[in-house]
Amino acid sequence: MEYVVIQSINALVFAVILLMSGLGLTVVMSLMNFINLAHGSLVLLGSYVAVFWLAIGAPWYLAFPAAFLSGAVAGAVLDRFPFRLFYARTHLMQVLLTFGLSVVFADLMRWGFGAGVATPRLPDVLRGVVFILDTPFPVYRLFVLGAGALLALGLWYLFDRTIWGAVVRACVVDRGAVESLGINTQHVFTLVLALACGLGALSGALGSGIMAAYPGLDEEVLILAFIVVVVGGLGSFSGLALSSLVLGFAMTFSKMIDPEFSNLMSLGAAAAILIVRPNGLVAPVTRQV
Amino acid sequence: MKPFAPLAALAALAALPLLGVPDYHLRLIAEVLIYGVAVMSLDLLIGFGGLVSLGHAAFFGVGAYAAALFATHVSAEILLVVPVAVLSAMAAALVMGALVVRSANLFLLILTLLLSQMVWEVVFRWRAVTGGADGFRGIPELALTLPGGHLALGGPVALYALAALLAVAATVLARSFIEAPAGRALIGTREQPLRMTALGYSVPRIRLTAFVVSAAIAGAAGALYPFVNQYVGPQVAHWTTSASLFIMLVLGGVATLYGGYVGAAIYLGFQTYISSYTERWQLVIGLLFVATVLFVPGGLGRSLKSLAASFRPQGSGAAVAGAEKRRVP
Amino acid sequence: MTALSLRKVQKAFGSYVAVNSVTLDVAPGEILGLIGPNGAGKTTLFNIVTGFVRPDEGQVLFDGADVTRLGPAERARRGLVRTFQKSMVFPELSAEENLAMACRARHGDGYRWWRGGEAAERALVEARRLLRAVGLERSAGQPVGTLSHGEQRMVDISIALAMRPRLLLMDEPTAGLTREETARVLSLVRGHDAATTVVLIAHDLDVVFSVCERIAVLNLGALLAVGDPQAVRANAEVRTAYLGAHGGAHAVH
Repeated sequence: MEYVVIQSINALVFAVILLMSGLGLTVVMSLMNFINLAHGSLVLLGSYVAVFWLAIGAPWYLAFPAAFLSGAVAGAVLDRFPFRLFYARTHLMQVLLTFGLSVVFADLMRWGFGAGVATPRLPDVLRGVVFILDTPFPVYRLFVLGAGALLALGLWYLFDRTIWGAVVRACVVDRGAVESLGINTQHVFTLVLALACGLGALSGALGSGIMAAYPGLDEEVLILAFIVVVVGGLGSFSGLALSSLVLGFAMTFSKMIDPEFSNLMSLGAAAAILIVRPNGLVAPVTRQV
Repeated sequence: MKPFAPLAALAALAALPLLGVPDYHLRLIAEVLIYGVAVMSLDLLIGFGGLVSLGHAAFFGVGAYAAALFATHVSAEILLVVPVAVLSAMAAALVMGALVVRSANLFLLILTLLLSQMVWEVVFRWRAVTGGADGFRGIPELALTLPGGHLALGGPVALYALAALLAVAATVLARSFIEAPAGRALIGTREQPLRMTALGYSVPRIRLTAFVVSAAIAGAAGALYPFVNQYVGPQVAHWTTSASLFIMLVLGGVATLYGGYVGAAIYLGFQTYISSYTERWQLVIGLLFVATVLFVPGGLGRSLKSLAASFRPQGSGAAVAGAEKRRVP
Repeated sequence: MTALSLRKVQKAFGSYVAVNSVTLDVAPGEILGLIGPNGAGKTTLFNIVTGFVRPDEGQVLFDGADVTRLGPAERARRGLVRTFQKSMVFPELSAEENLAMACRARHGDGYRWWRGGEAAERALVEARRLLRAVGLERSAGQPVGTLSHGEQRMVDISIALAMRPRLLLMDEPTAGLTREETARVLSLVRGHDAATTVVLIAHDLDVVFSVCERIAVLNLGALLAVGDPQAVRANAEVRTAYLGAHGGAHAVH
């Protein structure tokens, strides 16, 4: 019984990591109608930034804002070129562009940071274990759980409940109308992209304490983030949260049942959802004809 | 398609070994042809059917493993190995095609990715049968049993000949399919899926047909793949292989069929030659890909075609080239 | 027996009632106009009749048979054909290939894997004949995407006619066309097989009154009036719906 509880907490931690990775992707997809396959690269970038920040002994709590900033800056640069040229293009073209860029970034990072696994040196306060139901549980994971949940809630509030979020959503629907209100939509898009990339990097930084940083992590995270976002249904925060939970629990508990075929089961679960609900868990009703 | 075109291609390909092209080049060209066929089959789905799938490695991989397993455990007779591989890939396509029938766009992309990764997981974990992560070696050479005797089909020249035959046959078949009612209907479902339904067509049936035909061709290519290096490993069914096929398709030109060969040649050529100069060959490929998307979104193969068309007198190539330009989204 | 019968068809999207208990009979061979202000539910009604949308309640009877549960492709195969507000032609295919696509559908030859043969010839011959009927035989080999808006519309409608429909639903077939093109479309509609029943949505009331034998008026999802053009024109509720509560001064001529 204790085992199930512990594994459930593990599943929640994993779900939160999935949620955070998915957030950066879905923010851009649903608010800007832009598909960014370079998202995984930004997650990896954030991981490396965190690892190096902690390695040089700087204040640990600044590692995460530093990662966020590095992602945000990268995002602002990418917006300027070449993303801006593709906001109005089809999804397929965006996929092609950002996929190509992800290949470029992956190799650049392999070149710069090496091909090995880089593990962050966690500060003492985040190291060690806490005892839950007589079982040792890493403190860091609880930290990630808490931080991630807070972040997700904050973002949801920002986009769903504030005027700023409404402005962003309006930009996708009718950019011209928003411009006529005197708002520079170009800046809005830049800000949103910077935010999304910053988020990606931040999720990488938070995740680095659990998963470390290594070449190939970008691909793995990208695929998972994509799966969670699409399975959740596009443009839906609750859908994303739901699918993160489903996948987080599926992956954790399938390892319990049969570690050999756990991936197969998780993939199967995600596939089953998309087969039964071809537009994701929370699908908007749209007009076809 | 004019009847002499495939014969001309065959003759040109046949000339290469006769001209004394060295073995290692022949092996590379054979690999280019094999991948080219696989990419061409993907073009059927993506370029003509508008079904952007990231699951094509599943068909290629199933074909490869089926051929390798059959040759190792049953018989290396090529007239059996290839059909077995093709049928296996078609079976996989029946399943995948049926499951993705209601999916479109991003959802199709992710679902095909999920399903093909499940295939990879099975290949990777089922160590007893597939050799797991290590794959398996020691695959016997292909052979052809003739009334007179036995013809061994090992070695770079034989492999190259097989690949050339495969490429020509597959291209003829693909072109024939595209111009057949099923192919026209496939193009119709890409351009106007609602209209097709309103005309009484079963869009799911058309798409399923496309998956099965495309997989058959990919499976045939996969069948030859293990015999390039007498080895097959799980990477052949991984989603990154699907992605590579996709890159080759974009580089070569979507909806051109022959673009597959152009893209495969560029990709594999770079991989082979650049990697001998620098470890950063992936960076170069990536930059080339991005440059293609930014400046030549129709793919390099298509630009060559447009270029060639512009040399023809006005009226014949112009309308086609114009329509193709419009194709770029 | 009616060609088409709608019995208390109801459709709501959330709290928005798009089609409100519509009951309507269309006689075989007649040309019925379906008019109403924007947002009246005309296209939704078409979608329900053709099977693209499932009604919440009610029945759709085609040639006496209940087709409410049938999908759009099956209905099309039975002769229930429609055109859409936008021309849905196949832009990259040539004009004759566009029409051949429909001919093959009718012959049941749409799924063959190999090309050539008698069936293919038959479809092409038919396609060329249809193109001649609309004066586009010179553009037979041209990609339809390169034709003008009006020419594309002609191909679009010819595709529907190639199906030899028993019931033809046309959603604003003359929208965006010049007077001359409109006249051509109308003569196509009138000149086709007299046995075909036609239901026509149009905003241009000139078009409706010149071609339709009967007119049905839809407003806010409900059927306001059905009758011959004179009666509908004189109907007070119809005028209010179109012209507002103070309507009357600028009479619908």
